[in-house]
This record gives sequence, C-alpha cells and structure tokens, in this order.
Amino acid sequence: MGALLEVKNLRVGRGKKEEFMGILEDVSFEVYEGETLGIVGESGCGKSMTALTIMGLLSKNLSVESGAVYFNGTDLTKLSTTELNQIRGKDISMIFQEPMTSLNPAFTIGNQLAEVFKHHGNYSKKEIREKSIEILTKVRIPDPEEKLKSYPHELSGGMRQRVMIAMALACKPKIVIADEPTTALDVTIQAQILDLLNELQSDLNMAVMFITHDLGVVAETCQRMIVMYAGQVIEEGTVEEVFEHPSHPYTRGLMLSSPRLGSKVKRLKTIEGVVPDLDNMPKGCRFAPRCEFATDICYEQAPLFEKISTSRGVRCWNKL
Amino acid sequence: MGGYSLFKYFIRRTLLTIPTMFLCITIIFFCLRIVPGDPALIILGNQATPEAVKELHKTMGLDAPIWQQYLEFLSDTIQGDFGKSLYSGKSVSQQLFEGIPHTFNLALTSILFACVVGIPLGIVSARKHNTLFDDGLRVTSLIALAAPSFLIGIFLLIAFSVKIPIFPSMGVGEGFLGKLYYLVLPSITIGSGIAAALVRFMSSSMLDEINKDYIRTARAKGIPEKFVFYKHALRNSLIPVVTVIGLNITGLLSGAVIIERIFGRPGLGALALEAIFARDFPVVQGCLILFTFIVVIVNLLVDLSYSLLNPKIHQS
Amino acid sequence: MQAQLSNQDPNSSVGNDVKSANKKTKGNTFFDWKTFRQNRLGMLSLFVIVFFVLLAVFAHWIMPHDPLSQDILNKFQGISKEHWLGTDLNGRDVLSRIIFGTRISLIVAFCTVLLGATVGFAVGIIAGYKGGLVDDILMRIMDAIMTFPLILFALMLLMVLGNGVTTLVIIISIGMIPGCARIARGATLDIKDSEFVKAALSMGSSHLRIVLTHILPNILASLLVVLTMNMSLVIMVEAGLSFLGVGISPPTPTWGNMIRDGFTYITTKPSLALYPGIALTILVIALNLFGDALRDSVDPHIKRQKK
Repeated sequence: MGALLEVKNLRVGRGKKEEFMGILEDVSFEVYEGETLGIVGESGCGKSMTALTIMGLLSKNLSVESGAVYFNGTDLTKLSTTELNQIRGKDISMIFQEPMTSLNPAFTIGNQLAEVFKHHGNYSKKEIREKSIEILTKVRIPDPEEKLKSYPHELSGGMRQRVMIAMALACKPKIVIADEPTTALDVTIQAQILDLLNELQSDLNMAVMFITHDLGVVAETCQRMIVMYAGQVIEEGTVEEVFEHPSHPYTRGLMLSSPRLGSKVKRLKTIEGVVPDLDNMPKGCRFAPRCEFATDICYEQAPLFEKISTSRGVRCWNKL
Repeated sequence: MGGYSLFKYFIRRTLLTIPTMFLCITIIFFCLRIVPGDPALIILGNQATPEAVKELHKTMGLDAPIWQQYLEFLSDTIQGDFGKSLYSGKSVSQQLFEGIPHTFNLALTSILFACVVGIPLGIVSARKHNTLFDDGLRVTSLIALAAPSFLIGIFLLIAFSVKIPIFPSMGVGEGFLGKLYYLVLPSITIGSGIAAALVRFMSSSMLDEINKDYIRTARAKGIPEKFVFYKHALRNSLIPVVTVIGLNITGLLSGAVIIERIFGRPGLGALALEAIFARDFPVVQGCLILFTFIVVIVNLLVDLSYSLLNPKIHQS
Repeated sequence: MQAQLSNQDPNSSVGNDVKSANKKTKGNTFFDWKTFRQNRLGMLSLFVIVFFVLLAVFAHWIMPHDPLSQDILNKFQGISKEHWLGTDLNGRDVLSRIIFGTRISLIVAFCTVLLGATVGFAVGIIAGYKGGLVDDILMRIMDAIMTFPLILFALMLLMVLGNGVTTLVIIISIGMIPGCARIARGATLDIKDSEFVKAALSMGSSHLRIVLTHILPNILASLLVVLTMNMSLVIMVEAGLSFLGVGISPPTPTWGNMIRDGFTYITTKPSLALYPGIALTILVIALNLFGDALRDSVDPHIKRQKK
C-alpha cells in the first residue's frame, strides 16, 4: 500500500550555498493511512523541525537544501505559499505544543475556529456555526455554544488544547501532526487528551504523526516509530520491535534509561556526553563520541540508513 | 461574563478620574495663590494705590480666608464658572469656548496626518524589514522624533512660507478648504513627531507579532498570508498605537501653545499665553483647569479603548 | 522518560562545546560597551555631544567675538570672514552667541536634570520599596504632576515668580520628577523581591543599607539613560520657554532667546532664527539618539516602566 506521506532525504538548515549548515540530514520516513507514527528523540534532535518542514512553517532563516516531502504525488517543499495553503489545515494539519500561546488572544474561539471552515470550503455562516459546535462537541468541550463566544484566556490549558485539536480536525484531514501536544499540560489532562486523540483518530481514520520525547506515550499510542538524534533518523520500526530489540546504541540507551514497571534494574543507565553543537558536528557517526560500542569506522565515516526488513531500519555500523 | 466585567472596569476606571481631577485643580488653586507677592500688586504693578489694590482684592475675592476661597473655587469650578477676565471682562468660560474649536481642529488634523503617514509607513517598514528602505525610514523617524516640534515649525515656516511661499504663515482661514489650507503647516509640525513615533511602534509591534506562536497556528490552518498579516498580526499590533497617540496628546497641548504662537493661530494655547503675559489670573486658571481636564479625559479614553482591544485587561 | 545525560566525560570533544557555550552567555554586565560601539548612530551622537560639551567648556577661548558686544552699524550682516554666521539685529556676532549659548543650555539642562532625577529617583525608590499606602499616595501625586502640560505650568509659575535661572531650573525639574520616579519605582520593585535582597534582610541589613548597596547599583543603568533622555527634553523646554519670552532674559544669549529675536525678522532674515535652531536641533537629536543607543546596550535585566 502506498504511503500517504513520504519524506525523502530531507536536508534542512540555515545559511546559503557555501555557508549552509545542515541541521536535518538525510531524514526519510513514511506515514501510512490511518496509522500512528511516533517520532522520538530528545529536545533539539530535530523532530519539531521535521514537522515544520512538512507544513512549510520553517522560520525565515531556515531552508530546505535538498530532499522532498511527497504528499498525493506532489512535493510539498516546492509548492508556493498559496498552493500550500490549500493543503495546510485541510489535508494535513498540526497541533502545537504550547496551548497557552498558540491561540490569538484578540479573537474568540468561534472566530478562530470558523476561519478554518471559511478558507477551506464554501460554507454558509449557519453551516460554519453548526460545524463548529459539532467539532467542539467531538473534542468533548462542555457547553460548546457558549465557548464559541469566549476568548482563549478564559479557558484552561487543557481546554485550549482541545480547541487546537478541534481546529486541526475540523476539515477531517488525512494526517495530523501532533508536536508534543501534552508536554505543557498536567499529567491528568495529558491522559484525557491522549484518549481523545486516540478516539478521534479511529473515528475519522486519520494518520497521526506523534512527536514526543516521552517513550511511555509512544508505547501506548503508536504502532510504528522512528528515533531521531542530532538531526538524523537513526532507527525505525514497529513499536514492539524497537522497544524489545533496540538496534541502535542510542535507542538502546534510551530504552535502558527509562524506568519500567516490573523491571529489576536498580540504577537507571545514563548516556554519557551531550548532543553535539551544530558547529561541532563530528565527522563520522554523530553519536560516536558518546557510543560505548563505537569502533574506528564510526569516527571516520557517517553510516547510512539501512533497511533491515520492510519495517525496520537503522543507521549504525555496529547494529546490535 | 466577558461583557459584564468590561463594564465594571469602565465604571471603575472612569470613577478614578475624579480624585485625579480633584488633586489637579487643588494644585492649580494653591499654585496660583501661594506665589510670593500679592497677585493684585503683580497685576496692577508697583505704582498702584492702596485703594486700587484693595478694590482688586475684593473683586478677586482675595480678602476672604484661604479656605473660604478654596471652597468657593471648588463650587465655581464644578459649575463651570471660571469667573471673568480681568482685562476684557468677558466670561472666561466664554473665551475658552471660543478657543476650543481652533485648537481642536489643529489637534485633529495633526493626529490624522500622523495616522495617515505613520501607520502605513510603519506596516511597510515591518513588511520590508532589514531592507534599505526600512533602515532609511528608521533613521528618518528617529530624527523626526527627536527634533523639537517648535523647531520643525520654524523650519517649515522658513521653507514653505518664506523662501517658497506656498503656505500662509499666519491666521486661520475662512471656509472649510480655507481653514484646511491654513492648517497644513501647523499640522505637519505637530503631526510629524507623532507620525515618527507611530512608525516605530507599528513596525516593532508588527515584527513582534509575526513571530508569535498564534501566527504560526494561523498559517498551519492554511489561512492565506494576506489574512495572517492584516487580520491576525495587525489586530494585535494596533493596541500600542492607540496608546502612543493618547500619550502624545498631552505633548500636543503643550506644543499647541508654542505652535499657535509661531503660526499666529488663535486657540486655547494662544489664549493661555496672552493671559499669562497679561497676568489675567482667572483666564490662566480657567485654561489650566481645562487643559488638565482634557488630558485626564484623553487618558481615560485611551485606557478604555486599550481594554476594549485587549480583552485581557479588564479580566484582572 | 527522558534519556539521562551526564557530562562527566572530560575527554569527550563535546565537553568543550559545553564550556564554550557557557562562555557565550552574557553575564551581569552593567554596560555593554561592545554592543554600544556597534551602534554607529549612537557613536556618532556621542561625538556630537562631546563636541558641544567642548564648545561649552572652552567657549571663552573659541568665541571669535564677545557675544554681547553690539555694533549697530553692522547689523544684519550676512556670512563674512569677520562674522562666520553673520550678525544679528544688534550687530552681535551670531557664531559667538551660539557658542556661548551652548554653555548656558548645557549648564541649565545639567543642573535641572540632576535635581529632577535625584528627587525623582528618591521618590521612586521610596515608593517602590515601602509600597502600600506610601506608594499609592506618592504615585497619585506623580500622576497629578504628569497631567499638567509642563510648558503651560512652567509659564504660569515663571510669570509670577520671575525669570531667574534658579526658578527656571526648579520648575522644569519638577516636571521631570514623575518620569524618573516611575522608572526608579519600576526598577526598585523588580529588585525588591529578588533573592539577594531577601537574603540581606534575613541577615539583618538595615533598609538603608539594602537600598544603597543593592538597589542603587542596579538602577544606575536606567538612571544614566534617564539623564540623557531628559537632558534633551530640558534643553527643548528651556528653549521653548525662552522663545516665548519667559526664559533666561536677554541680553544673555541662549538659543531660545536667539530664535525669539530671529522670529521677529523671519520674513526678512530667516537665518537669524535658523542658525541657533539648527544647533539646537542637532544637539537634541544627538542626545536622543545617544540615549536610545545607551538604552539598547544597558543590561536587559532593567525593565523599562511603561505607563
């Protein structure tokens, strides 16, 4: 079955021509219809930047140097803003991390929600209102008619995030990118939001790209996952495969450093060192300086991403 | 809900002006009376006979104890009775009333000029950030902002009225167009400072806005860039603009005194100046009270409109 | 759960990156000279200001003529070798008068600002530090003073109190007090709740000591900015008042005076008003630009108090 979204050898960074500094290097993965793909990695590994690249929302100093993002046969990175706007919010939408600042404080919820409908279809005012109430109900916001008239600052963080989800799902997109949607919320609210997303996803048969640094969430909600480090995809596979048999030393380190219920480990293992600076990216494998399994070749040559099976892939000379 | 607390804020803020006004007119009262020397003597000059001084004391009500004077002053002021001019005998409120339209016209055209020039330039400056155009605009507005307005007035006068006689140098003019014609130079004088401030504020405001998270959300929703800029970013950017204009109005009144003098225009400023030179205390007092009243009201309007534009304020 | 990190490995090449990253963070510098130097406009204005100050200080040696000596026969002369900027209505040398006027403007401005800022800052610190009712009352008074159009107020008081320089200084400085008070109060409030003040208090420091050792140094930066910005304001106000006739009385040359004299002849000989006007404009613009540049390079911890 063909992929819904195909990210191919994406190279994104800042500067031009000779002064170009790549931040994302050789990022490739696919998203299939109806699935939940988890994108994992620590802060700064490039997960958000990948999402923003797909959506065409990179800040002005960043650009796509090479690679492509294929959706429905077209390369999104080559589209003009107007063309991109036909797709954003309608076929592919995004939920951001900070619900507190992601809504415009000057306009009501109703106004901001109606915008999505206005720009992606020819609905009458009445229809828009009905659809707005419908989607707000779907995301389980109490009293949706009243809420249409409220301003963002009148709602709690959890509520605002639901509004964000409502806006993202309003036009029944094929893919929803969720960039750490629950990180800024309480743990209890977190669970609710995750439940909601799960439910809506199966309801509307959307694909979800779930970006997070929380392995627990990935285990619960995703079927497949990719692991990113220092701007590269270093491992890919189904959640079971990666959790049970991590192949890349970094992934292995991640798995070992998160506490699991029932495990008998007394001390959590840590990964020594820090993520390399952009100006100081190592010559060979980016993880080599911190890797306990590193060999000579690791420092010399950067490993390529290799597909081990249809679902699995690793970027390592010494796959475990 | 949203509407009710806004209403409560309006009421609360409006009521706050009363103690401020009260404090101000008290200061005015005591300043004009606590000055060293006998006001009557100052008015009549040192040659005045004791009888004339006594007579003037009575007319001005200076023979009563200060507290009585104060209370009378308060009651008069609240009723709008500012007494009579010592020189023309005309009612002070009458003179004030006559002066208001001229100064008001000047203020209005100045603000209009400032907005028409300043706001679009500010937006363009933001749109074309870091280009040569933007840099040039910034430097120009910095200079326009720093240059004292009465000097701008004098320069404009010299340039466009003396050297190149396009505009008149004195007077108010007749008829709508005529009055407008006479308003051009003075309005540009006062307006350029405000325009420069507006350009800077609009520009920095828009630039701040464009980087906000909710702008990113708007783009993510697939909203056309035009809407993103002119609906989402602009709306939030306009908030400080109202404040900038409001803050500058106080300076406008101060400037009016000098500008009206430079361009030979009648108005509150000219009235006040004349009265000060003539030591016409009731007129001076009336003018001061009126001026402070205007400033307080303008500040009130600015605060209220700010809270309307920014729904968060009245929630606190 | 986030992967645990540790940078205990000193041999790792990435460890050095951490060290260099730490060096880049700006410390608690009082004044960032480097940033200021990059602001070309700011540097330019600094030179202009220094130029004027030198003019004022060495006025007696630089002036080609006595600013007060009249020469009626030679009035209204144009630019000549004898008189670089011509002569005025009384035959006095315009250039000398402008140079001398620099001294007066700067001295008056400096004294006024010093007085106003001192009082203003004191009020602001007290209001911010004590808080409560004291704060409320003081700020209400400040509000009331701010409501008055300064020039009008000054005009009125000068009328009744006479034209003296001291009166001028005192009156204009009163107008400056609310602005300074606001800034000082804002900065005080910022610092009052900080950790090291609490620590000092708990160790038994007297309030006065805290003010002197903790609060003052931190607001010194904003004080400097306020001083420069207000200097330009005061020079403008003084010139304006002189222009209206209530400032420093003739024949002492101040720029405002000269503009006033020149204004009467604006249609016949506009240069009389133009030259001092240009001098005034240049100095005021320089002070403002300098203040702006200063503000930009001052420690970002100092918040600016907006209305």
